[in-house]
Amino acid sequence: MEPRTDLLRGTLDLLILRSLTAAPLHGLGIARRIAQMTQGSFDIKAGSLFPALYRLEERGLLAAEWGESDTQRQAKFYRLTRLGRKQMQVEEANWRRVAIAMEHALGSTS
Amino acid sequence: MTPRGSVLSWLASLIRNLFRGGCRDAELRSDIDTYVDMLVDEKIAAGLAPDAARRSTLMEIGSVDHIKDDTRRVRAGALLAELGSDTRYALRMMRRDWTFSTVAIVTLALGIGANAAIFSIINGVLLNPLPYPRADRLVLVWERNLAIGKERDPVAPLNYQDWRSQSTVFDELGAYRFREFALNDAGDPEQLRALSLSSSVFGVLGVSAGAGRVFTEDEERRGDRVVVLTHALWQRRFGGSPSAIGRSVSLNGAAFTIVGVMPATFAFPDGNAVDVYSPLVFTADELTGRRSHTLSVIGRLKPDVTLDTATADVRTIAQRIFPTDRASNPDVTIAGAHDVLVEDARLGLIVLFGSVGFVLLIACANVASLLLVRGSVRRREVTLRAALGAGRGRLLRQLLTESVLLAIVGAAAGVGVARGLLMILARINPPNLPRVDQIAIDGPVLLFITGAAVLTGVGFGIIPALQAATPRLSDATRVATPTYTAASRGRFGLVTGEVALALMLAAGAGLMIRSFVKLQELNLGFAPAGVVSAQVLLPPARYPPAAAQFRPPTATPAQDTKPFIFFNQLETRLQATVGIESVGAVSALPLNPVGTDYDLPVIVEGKPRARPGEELQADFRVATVSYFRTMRMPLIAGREFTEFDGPGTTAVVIINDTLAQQIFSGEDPIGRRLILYGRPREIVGVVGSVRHHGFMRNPRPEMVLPYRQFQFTGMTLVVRSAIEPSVVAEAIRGAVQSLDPQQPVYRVRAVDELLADSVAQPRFTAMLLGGFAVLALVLAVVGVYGVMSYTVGQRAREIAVRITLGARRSEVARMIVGQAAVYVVAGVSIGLAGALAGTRLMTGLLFGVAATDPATLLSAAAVVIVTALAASSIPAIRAARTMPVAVLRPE
Repeated sequence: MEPRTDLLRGTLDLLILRSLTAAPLHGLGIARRIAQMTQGSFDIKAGSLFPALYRLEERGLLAAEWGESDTQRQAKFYRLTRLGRKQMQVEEANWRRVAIAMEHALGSTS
Repeated sequence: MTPRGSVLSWLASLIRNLFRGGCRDAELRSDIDTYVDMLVDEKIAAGLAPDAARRSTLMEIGSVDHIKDDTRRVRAGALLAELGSDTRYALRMMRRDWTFSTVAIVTLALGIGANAAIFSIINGVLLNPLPYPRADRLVLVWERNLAIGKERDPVAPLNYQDWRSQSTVFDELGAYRFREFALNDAGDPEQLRALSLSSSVFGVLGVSAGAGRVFTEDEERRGDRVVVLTHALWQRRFGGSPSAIGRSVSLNGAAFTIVGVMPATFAFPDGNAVDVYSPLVFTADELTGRRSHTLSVIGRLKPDVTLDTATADVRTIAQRIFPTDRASNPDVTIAGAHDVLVEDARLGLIVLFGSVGFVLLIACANVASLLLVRGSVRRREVTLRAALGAGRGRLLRQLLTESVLLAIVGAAAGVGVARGLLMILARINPPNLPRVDQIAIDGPVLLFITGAAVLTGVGFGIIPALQAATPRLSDATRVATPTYTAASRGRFGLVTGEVALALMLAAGAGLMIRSFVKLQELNLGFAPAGVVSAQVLLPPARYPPAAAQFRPPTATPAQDTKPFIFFNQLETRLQATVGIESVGAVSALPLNPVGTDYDLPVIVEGKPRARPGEELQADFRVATVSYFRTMRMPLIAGREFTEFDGPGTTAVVIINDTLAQQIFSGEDPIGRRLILYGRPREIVGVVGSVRHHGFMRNPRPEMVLPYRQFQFTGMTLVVRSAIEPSVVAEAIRGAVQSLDPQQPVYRVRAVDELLADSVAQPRFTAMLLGGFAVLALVLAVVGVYGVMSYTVGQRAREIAVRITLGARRSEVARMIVGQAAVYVVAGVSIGLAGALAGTRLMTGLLFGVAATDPATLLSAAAVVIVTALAASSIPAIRAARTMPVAVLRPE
């Protein structure tokens, strides 16, 4: 797997997990929710979204059921598993540490 | 993420994807389709025309198939790709660190190879079923009478016939016994070992002839002279010619027709080699009473019948018979044919398998401690990978791939080690190990090796991997500092364990070796060195023994029989040969399964008889005058036989001191009379007892008659001399030929050699166990050395500081050895406790030494302590030579 996506992956995974804390969502719903959470900074395309969703599902962090959307379409709804919730907390904490470290680092050199 | 969760969900998804691949694909497609549809819906709601909305959506997200492919790739199938890259990486690491890899691979090859060799023995001997259809249904049946100590008594012909007709638990029941044939055909006379068997035995085993046919029940009933050859004899004597079938051969002077040849693969389940199969024929005597217990009985149980049900069924029949004929037995015992065949080898093999498992554990501990050492070296690399986004599960998988790969390479080399060991085994060819021909590195063994490799790879890799795969971001920049961490605790745990295991092995090996030495030193009751034995079986047709000897006397003809004359002349001729000291003959040689050997009730004239079936039984033998002298069996009271103990004089008997004690307890037995075959015989002598039935079994009571008064036609000749056994063998053959050119001699062997056979199994076990103990000790020493060297390296600065501050170098060395001593002593204590518990399992293998023998345990402990401390002294000396300046300069 190419290193570029490796670096992105952590971010995207965390965003997806985070987007599902309140309620289960379908694919498009997740993309919309992330856009909303990041005030439009991240517009997740299907090409990144689906591999990430399936990867998280494989790892047991997400589970999915088919249900009906508000536009009366059959859609796959993703939700956080217990493991996913735990993992989200771990990654959140990691991310905060990295962010603070980066903040310090960038602040001190500039 | 916890590693457990990761491994579990990984396994779960792998299984999901393997079994529901198609279904998952369809699901993925509709998931993406829905996504597209919903986007289109949005655009329509925003005012676009439906087809414009769809077009714009598709342009926006690109190819749906692409997305599908990308998504599919992340699923567990991708783990295979990941495994590939892990393996490539692991191979690279292996090449980069050659010393480490070589040490690890050699260690594992020895451990896994030794295990594979022992497992292939276990597989061939204990696990593989016997080579017959539904072999698990085959059982052996014996008579039993525990009241007089008869655990497994051979079966009387009438009992066999009654069991066969009355029992309901067998598909088929058959009987067999050994018999000897002298083959006088074209070529040298040859003694053939034959199995006389009921035709039903072929049905029991589910076998038929490879060429021609087996004999029929009619032929058996009529006593027809027909034989079936083994494949080996057919090849040897008849060149494998099809025309041999239908031919007539002369056996014991009578013409027999060859009706068939067994297949080359056929072997009788008792493991004894025979040449020919003939129909089982009973004598008139055998069909009038149940006195003569001569048959082995083999049966095929009906499909749902258990051993217990079968035993109960046959026991009922035996209990019905017993009151009508007290020479029968009131009970029976039944055991699986395979179990009986391997029962003597089983315990030894299981102990060996356990021990060799210990060797592998030690090997694993060694490699694990090497990996722990390397783990701290690789910490920075691992941390870097973690920083680049590798999860803990991912790192664990990577590190485990490396260790499993090491184990697999080790196992591959181990196959070579196993082959070597099995070749040595084939050379030793332990005579008492049944089914040696079944031992091979075959499918199950390779499966075992693969399983062992993966298990050991995970086994020795898991702790180092867990430790290494716990990355802390801060570690990436930190220079390793020597601290006592979980890693060092782990290493010392491993050393302690290794020492404990090595001690247990050393203790087990010590016990086996002591027991073997005890066996060698054992007083057998005779002096085997310098004696050559040979079997001479006269055909009764040409050498009839006294007709009336088995019945009470009527008028005794004062005449010598032909067998007596033959052996008497043979002894005289051999006696005249230069270099031969003395010559004798006996019906059954001690510690040798060949010969006429049975027991009779002891009836003392003038003493009340015990109830039949509860009488003391004594072994019954006949011997020539100089037999006791030739074997150097000591005369304790009275006299030996003389040449005057003949047909016209008083009937005499010599007993052994075991019998003398059991029936006369202190009284003088000389002059008392025993009733044998209805004839009173005067006890003229008492000889020392002999361990006739095995090194490990106590001597049994014994009664011996002079050959001139009682003849068997098959005798074992014993010749004591100071000359080469091969020269003696030639002399024996020459003397027999000169007396009767048609008479074969066979099984000419030095008695020493025969005895070596009967301790072959303990010797084999002792040798292998000793070898494993040495291997274990070497591995443990390498382990102790490695860990102590590493510790000295870690503590280099501390040691340098100590020396700078004035610590004496001897103190430093003592400190390091002292540190090792703590772990060695801990290991030895655990090992002693383990040995005390473990060696108990060996009790059945030991002779003359207790499983908890303190001397052996303590010497094993001493050996382990000394070697382990010696191993730690090298790094200790290195520590003592530390140059503080060199170590402390980088600061």
